Amino acid sequence: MNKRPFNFDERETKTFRSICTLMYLLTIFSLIAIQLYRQFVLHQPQEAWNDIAMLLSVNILVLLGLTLYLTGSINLRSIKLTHILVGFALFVLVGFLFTIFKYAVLLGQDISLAEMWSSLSTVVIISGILWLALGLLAYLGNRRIDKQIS
Amino acid sequence: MTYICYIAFMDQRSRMKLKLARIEKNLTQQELADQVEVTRQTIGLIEKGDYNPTLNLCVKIARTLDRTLDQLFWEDGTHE
Repeated sequence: MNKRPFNFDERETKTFRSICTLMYLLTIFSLIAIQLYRQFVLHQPQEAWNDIAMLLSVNILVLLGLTLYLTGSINLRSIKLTHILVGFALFVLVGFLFTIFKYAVLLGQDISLAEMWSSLSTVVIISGILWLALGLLAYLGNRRIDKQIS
Repeated sequence: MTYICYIAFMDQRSRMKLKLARIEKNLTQQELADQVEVTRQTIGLIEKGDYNPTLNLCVKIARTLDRTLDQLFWEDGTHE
């Protein structure tokens, strides 16, 4: 008999991890829904949903960063620079369009050219920092795995 | 149809290998489970073919039953 009541074997650990993954995804999607509902349907002030937005941002960034570092699955040296630049441009474009959509359509505000330019520069800077940080983690993770193999 | 029946038969045979080896060794599912440090349910599910054990667990089971991995887990007729 199993002596300890909570002595998980590999099958139970695997099942437990699957449940944790499912519940994590459910929690994240629920939080996204709650945040969007508060922001765009209830039109609550930023203070009312800022904590959820921060939590989501940190959570997803840490998830991406740790996945890239611990799996080491992306080999940056095998990706062409032009592909990275095109990916970055698309990322910026989506971020910029979302920002415009948010202010112009969802919040119904008029945006001047200066505000648009300011928004674009903010998106470029934040996206640049994110790409650099995630790229660095991917590089370090890949190097770590290579070292382990050798 | 014949091929599907053959596959099902071979699958059942390969599943039976673990059970037969355990019985030949005079071990119950619980005793084998205790020796390889898993639960009885896990051994039951492996024998039934409903759970794929890790290589580590396969090695532990093979050692406990004095068999090789091939003898316990390799499907007959698929060596080549």
